[in-house]
Amino acid sequence: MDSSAACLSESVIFKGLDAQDIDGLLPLFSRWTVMPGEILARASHCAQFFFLLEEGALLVAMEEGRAVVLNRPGDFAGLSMVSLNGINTATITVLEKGVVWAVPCRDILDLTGHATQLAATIMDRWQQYCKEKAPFCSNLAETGVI
Amino acid sequence: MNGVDAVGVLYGLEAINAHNGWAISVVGVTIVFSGLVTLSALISQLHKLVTLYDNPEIIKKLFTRKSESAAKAGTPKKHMVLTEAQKQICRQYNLLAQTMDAVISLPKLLRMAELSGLKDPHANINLLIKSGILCADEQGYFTWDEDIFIRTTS
Repeated sequence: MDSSAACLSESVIFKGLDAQDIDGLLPLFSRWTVMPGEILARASHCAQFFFLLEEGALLVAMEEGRAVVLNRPGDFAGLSMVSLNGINTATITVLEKGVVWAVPCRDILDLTGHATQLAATIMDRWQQYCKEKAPFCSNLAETGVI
Repeated sequence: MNGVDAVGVLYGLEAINAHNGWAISVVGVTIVFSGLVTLSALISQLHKLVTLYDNPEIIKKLFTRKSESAAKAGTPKKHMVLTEAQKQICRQYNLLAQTMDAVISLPKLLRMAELSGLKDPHANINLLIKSGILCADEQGYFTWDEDIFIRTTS
């Protein structure tokens, strides 16, 4: 699990959290090795997982032909970027062989749904990350899953 | 005479007029108000100093960004060195991209590559992005950088 801790600490969203918070998050993530062409999430399907990129590249294909390519370690394909109300709004395809850390959507949404300092920090950083990566994304205010 | 006693000492408004009192008042008021405005501006920016004190890494990031942008401005854009096979792939995708608008939808390009029977479309699109030939804009679309394409494939 060392590399997941490293990946979390590199992520813009989870970086700088307390060691205790990181330790609480680590068990939620599972490591997947992914190959080019693999589809991790399909638009209009039920949202099951969010993905934290350790290595490789992901194509997040959204509505109207728009897309974002995530290729930095620590990039996060999740929350309002890929889902809304429990349904995927984007298709996530692997462009380059790599490693992702998959986390069940429900776990992240339970975490961010509470009125805690941790949730506020994560959501604040999520907003900044989304503005940088996908400024055209209109549903930034949504958390992604009910 | 009004404002002047028997000895010739001035009083009241005449005294003010005679000794540049109005000018002195204006200067005094200006100095006081300038000081107040400066002080209020300083106080309004204090929260930034507190943020810097709480997060000193912001200062490091600021200097890193400045030196990176200075370096980028100074040095010409380096292009990736491709193998002959990779150059050929780029030329194939150039033909595909020419059939699309100036702004390219990456999922659409990927779909067209698959339909055209091009090998390893995902890996090759990743190559185009890494080499800088395909660049993302802020609207979720991509553009084909002809300049980089020519330099990379020549």
